[in-house]
Amino acid sequence: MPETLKMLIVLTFIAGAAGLGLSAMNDVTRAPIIENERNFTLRSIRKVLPDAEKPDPCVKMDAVFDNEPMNDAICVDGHKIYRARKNGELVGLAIESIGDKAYDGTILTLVGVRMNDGVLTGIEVLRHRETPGLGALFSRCEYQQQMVGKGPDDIKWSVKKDGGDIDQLSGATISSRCMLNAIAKAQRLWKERGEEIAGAAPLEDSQEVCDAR
Amino acid sequence: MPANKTSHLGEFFKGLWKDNPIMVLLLGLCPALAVTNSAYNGLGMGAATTFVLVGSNILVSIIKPIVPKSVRIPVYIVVIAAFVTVVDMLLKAYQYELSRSLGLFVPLIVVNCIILGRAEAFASRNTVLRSALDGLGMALGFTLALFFLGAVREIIGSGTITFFQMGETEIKFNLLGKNYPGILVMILPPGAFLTLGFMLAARNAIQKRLNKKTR
Repeated sequence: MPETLKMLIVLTFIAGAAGLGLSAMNDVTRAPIIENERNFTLRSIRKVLPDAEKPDPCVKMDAVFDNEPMNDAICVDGHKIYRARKNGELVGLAIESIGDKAYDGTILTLVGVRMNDGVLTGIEVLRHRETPGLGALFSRCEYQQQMVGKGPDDIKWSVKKDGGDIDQLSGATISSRCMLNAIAKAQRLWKERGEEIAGAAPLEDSQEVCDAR
Repeated sequence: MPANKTSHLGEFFKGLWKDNPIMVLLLGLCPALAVTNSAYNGLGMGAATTFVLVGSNILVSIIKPIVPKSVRIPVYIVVIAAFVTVVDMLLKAYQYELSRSLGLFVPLIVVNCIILGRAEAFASRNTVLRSALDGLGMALGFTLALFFLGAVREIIGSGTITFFQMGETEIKFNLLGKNYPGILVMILPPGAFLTLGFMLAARNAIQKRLNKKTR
């Protein structure tokens, strides 16, 4: 057998076997992976929509809703919004919001907003590339305590350096600003698109990605 | 087949100390330095690499009679990439949080030079059993070094040591008390270089002393 033919056969055979093995593996792991991603999102939604008059990010609380927000998601302006209901009534929104101009790229957050008064009930940073120990400290509940529980008009939503009421993280003003940017986008949605959000039909595929990501 | 002077046990143990991939061969430093900001990340990276290294070593030594010399490297890469993809899927399915914190570095195991290095330098010329033992020893040496690196950085950097973490369950010890402020630089990349430097120095010092004794 000529050498070239042998090379061709061996390489094809190995690649084919690898592909076959991987597709079998994919069949086994696909369901648990989807389940994990769902659970991760659901856990974040529960965290940002606690059942409390004055929510505190450092205290573990039960979620405020009794529906399945994962199955009641909509896309508005490129934001994915999970709607939380209690006894059928819309009580809160978990809004996926991107903070622009982070120290490194952008950050993806999930912002919890109470439906009737727009109070920020929680914020969870889902994806970021900020410096560990500096910008990344915005995920700490102690830092978030100054924002969570406040309504859109209760405080000035910018860092003290820019004349607002929020302490910036020392050494990470950019990351702090970026987080406030994500919150501001969510508040704007709540304020200006409230009716549309309440009325929209839920997405058929809850895994759908809205384009802002 | 070259004459084998080392015993089977020797093939296994050489990876732990004499030819430790991190501390002696200095291979695979990219994942070693990047993910070891906690002990558990080091362990997880080590476990993933162990699976790939043992699997690819065994498979490469099984298929070596049919692989023509000129295409051996592409064949090895396909084998390694397949194992890495399997590990990536398994982690995502059963260790979701670990997979999130290791992130891109799991797929990057494909280009970890220890793995291709062992396939080319060892598994392609030795028996299946020897290759398996070599892979296991090398991988355990890699894991130990990563665990040690991660543990030192985590203890000094954040005052804790994490052995396991999954959802709400975690095995984590607060060694330096709740008020320990943490030393940021140890969690950041420079801490990895510093710790590795001290580890290399310590290993060399111990080796020197051992050499003196045997002489």
